[in-house]
Amino acid sequence: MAGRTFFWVNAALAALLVILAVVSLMVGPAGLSWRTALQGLFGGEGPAGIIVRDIRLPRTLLALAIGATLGLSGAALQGLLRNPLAEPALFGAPQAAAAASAAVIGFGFASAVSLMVPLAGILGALVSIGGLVAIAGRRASLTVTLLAGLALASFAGAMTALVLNLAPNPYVALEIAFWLLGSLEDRSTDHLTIAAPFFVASWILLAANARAYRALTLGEDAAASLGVDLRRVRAMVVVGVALGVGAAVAITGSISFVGLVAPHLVRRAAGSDPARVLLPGALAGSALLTLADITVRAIPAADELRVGVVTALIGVPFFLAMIFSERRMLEGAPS
Amino acid sequence: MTLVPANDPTVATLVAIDVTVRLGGKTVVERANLTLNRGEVVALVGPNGAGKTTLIRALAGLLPAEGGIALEGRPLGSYSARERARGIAYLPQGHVFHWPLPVASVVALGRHPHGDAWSPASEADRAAVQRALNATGIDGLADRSIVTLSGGERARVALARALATEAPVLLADEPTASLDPRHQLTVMELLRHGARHGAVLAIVHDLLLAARFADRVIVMDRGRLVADAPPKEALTPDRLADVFGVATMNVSTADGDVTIPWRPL
Repeated sequence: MAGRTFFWVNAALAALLVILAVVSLMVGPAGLSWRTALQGLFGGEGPAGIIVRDIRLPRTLLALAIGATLGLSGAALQGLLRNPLAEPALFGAPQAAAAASAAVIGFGFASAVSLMVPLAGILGALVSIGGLVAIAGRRASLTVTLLAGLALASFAGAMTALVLNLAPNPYVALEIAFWLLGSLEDRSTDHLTIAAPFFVASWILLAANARAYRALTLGEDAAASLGVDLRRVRAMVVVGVALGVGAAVAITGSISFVGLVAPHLVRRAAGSDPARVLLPGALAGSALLTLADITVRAIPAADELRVGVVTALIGVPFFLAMIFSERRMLEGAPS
Repeated sequence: MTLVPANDPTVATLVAIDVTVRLGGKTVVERANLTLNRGEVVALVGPNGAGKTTLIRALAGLLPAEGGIALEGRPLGSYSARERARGIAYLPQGHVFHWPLPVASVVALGRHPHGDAWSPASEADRAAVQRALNATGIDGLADRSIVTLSGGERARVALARALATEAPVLLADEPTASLDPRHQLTVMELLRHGARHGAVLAIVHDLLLAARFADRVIVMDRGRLVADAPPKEALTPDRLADVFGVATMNVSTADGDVTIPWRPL
């Protein structure tokens, strides 16, 4: 019975993704009908084909992949730390990735499309998530975890400010500032090719520990007594989140709250099981980010709204509502 | 180290020889020697801070320890984590559940060491979960969310989870803590029942419960095991005065005299 609901939720999310993907191919400065968009996708000649295949397809695929990565990262971190508020952005991972990537761009080590940027982003995310898991270690309370995340995020923010401060000229500073807001505009197949291996590696690392997250429902000691190798699980999640979030940030800049919101939307359908929430969490992440990216293109504005701004505008009230509804659990001190 | 042969039903399932555990430079358990035999319930008693939880965690392989620990005649260190988990079930203090899972899913976690990511629950797993649900009398709660249960029901779910592993050794850390008298007795009876599969070592604070249900009582004081004997011999008035700092009183019951703590010394 629960299994059937679960199947239909995943099927519905998958169907929604197909629809959103087609809409995403239709929306833009030159509006296309779904028929033209699909013809363009499958080898249609002329401007429609070029627009769809070269501009909108990579953008759509990136939105789907990055949304899935963020949703899966959130769900995996929540499973590892046994806490529904865990999210890469709360722990400074995207901020750290952004700071490292910004430093690489700002100091002219690399152009925006090069392997250096995602590598720097991954390294930044690795440091922040690794730091957090080390601090939040065995039985740190939620308070300690959130404070540590706050500190890491603030420090990453300061590093980014430093890069902007030391930028060789105002154009570079402006470029970094806009990039930081988070956008999928003008991303090409090159971006996708660079980032894809990191995304896939991240998905494998995070999904491979599904059973461990479920065992962690009983706490770390009981999970270890059931044969879960906690050190290995922690390392895999830290590296998995860092690879995925680092690469995502390097491509799009900072996109927050998808990792928090997506798993929450599907948690009830997954019966609160931290293993089963992974797949629908990833699908919901894809849907959210694609929807946000469609929204920024559909809203008429002189300059396109940044998708990171939209997710934050939606995400923060959601986060507050979650704190409000879960305050009893949160007041219960140790995680 | 000489170890007893495996697969001999008359033989000890868990043996600890000179087990010493240091935590943060402090010796918490010092040269502990104990044997758990199949079919027996052993109570581990001692004042707060005596090192009981540390000893039990070391026996479960969760803490590095000096000395030798053997499970079914083989050094514990030679087991893989999963093999060890099939051999020793561990029930930690407090009955913590971080997610509101249904009872059946929680109990099924006891089968974790028997499967892997690529094989869904086998027929044997399902049968073991059902046995654990029946034994603890919670089969009627199988579909309920764990958060809707009372403390006594949660304690039974936690115990069912540990029993579902059907391991030859069950180590339980204060399984009766914060339960009402009836649930304390029920849980102790379940441990007795669980001992049919193997050996049970349980930390118990209620000396009466220990005396009533245990085949042997091990008394721990400041990191050392100071007694290991049937309840009457282990829990003498002198020893209780010495270890717990309590004066005792004898109460006669239908089962004979029992010694109970009466006032602090």
